[in-house]
Amino acid sequence: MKIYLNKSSLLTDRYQQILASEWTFETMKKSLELADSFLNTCQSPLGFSELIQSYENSELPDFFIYSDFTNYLKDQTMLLGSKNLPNIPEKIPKRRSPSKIEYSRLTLEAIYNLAFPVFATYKNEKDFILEGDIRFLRDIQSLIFILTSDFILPLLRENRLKEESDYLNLIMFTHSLMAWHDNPAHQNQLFSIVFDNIGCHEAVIECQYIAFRLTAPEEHDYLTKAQAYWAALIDAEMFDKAKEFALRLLRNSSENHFDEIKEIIELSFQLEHS
Amino acid sequence: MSSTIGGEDINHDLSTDEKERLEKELRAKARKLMLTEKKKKRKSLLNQANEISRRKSKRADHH
Repeated sequence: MKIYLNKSSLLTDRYQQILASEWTFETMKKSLELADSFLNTCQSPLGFSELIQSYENSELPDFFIYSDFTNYLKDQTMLLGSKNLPNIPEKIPKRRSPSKIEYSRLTLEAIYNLAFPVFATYKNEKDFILEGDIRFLRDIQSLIFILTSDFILPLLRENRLKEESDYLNLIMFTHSLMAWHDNPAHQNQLFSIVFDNIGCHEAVIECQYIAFRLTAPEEHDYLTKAQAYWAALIDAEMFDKAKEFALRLLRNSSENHFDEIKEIIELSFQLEHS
Repeated sequence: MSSTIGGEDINHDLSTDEKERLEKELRAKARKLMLTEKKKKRKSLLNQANEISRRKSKRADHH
C-alpha cells in the first residue's frame, strides 16, 4: 500500500518552533504530537493516535512485543554481535501508577514513530511504501530521537522501567543504523547518543570523532560537533588529547570561530587543574 | 501527492541567520556548564545545537 506524506506550512512552522524553543519535557511531547499530526494527514491516517483507537492502553505493550518486527530486531542485533546492546524484553509489565503508565505509553509512542511504518496498521494492511515528504519525516524522527533520549530515558531509569528503557535504546540504535545510512555524520552522532545512554563511553568518543571528521569546516554543525567531541574527551579526563585537539582545531578553522575555540582552549587548561 | 518527491526542497529548515544565532548561543551555554556538574543539561544543549545546525535531509528515500 502506497502512502504519500505531505507536509504543510503549518507543520513546517511547528517543526521550526520546536527546533528553536528551549527544550523541555513538554517539547518532547510536542515532537510526538507533530509526528502524529503529520502521519494523520495521509490519505489513510497512520499516526499513533489512530493505532490506540484499535487497542486498549493495556493491550499496547503486547502489540509492540509480539510483532514480527521483534524477530527482525533480534536477528539484526545478533548479527552485530554487540554484547553491550540491551535485549528485547520478553514482556513489558503492566504498569500501575499513573506516572509510570504515562512514561510507558510515551515510550511506545516514541518507538512507534522511530520504527515507522513497522507498527502502522490500517485496515489490516501491512506493507507500506512511503513516498512524498519522507525527509520531513526523518527530520521529525531525529527530533523525537534526541528529545526522547534527553527527557524520557532519564525518567525510565529513575522509575526503574527497565523493559521500556531497553526496548527504546534498541530501537534508537536500529533507527540510526537503518534510517541514516546515507548520512554517516548524523548516524554517528545518533550512535554516540545511544552509546552514552547504555554507558559505552569509549564508543561515544569514537562516534563523536567520526561525526566530526565527516563534517566539513564550512558546515554549520562543524564547530558544534568539534565542541561535543572535545567535551567527551574532557569528561573522560583525557586532557592532553583535548588540548591537542583544540589547538589543531584553531589552526584548521575559519576566523569567525576563533573566539569560541580560544575559549575552549582556555577551558581545557582550567578544567585540567580544577 | 507531494510535488517535492525526489526534489531538493529543504524549506522546513531554519534560516542561516537564525541557525547561526541559535547554535552560537547554545554552544556558549554548554561551555559555561563545563565548569558545573550539570552534564546532562550541557549534553542536551549540544544535542539541540547539533540538530539546529545540521543540514536537513534532502533525499526522498523509500523506507
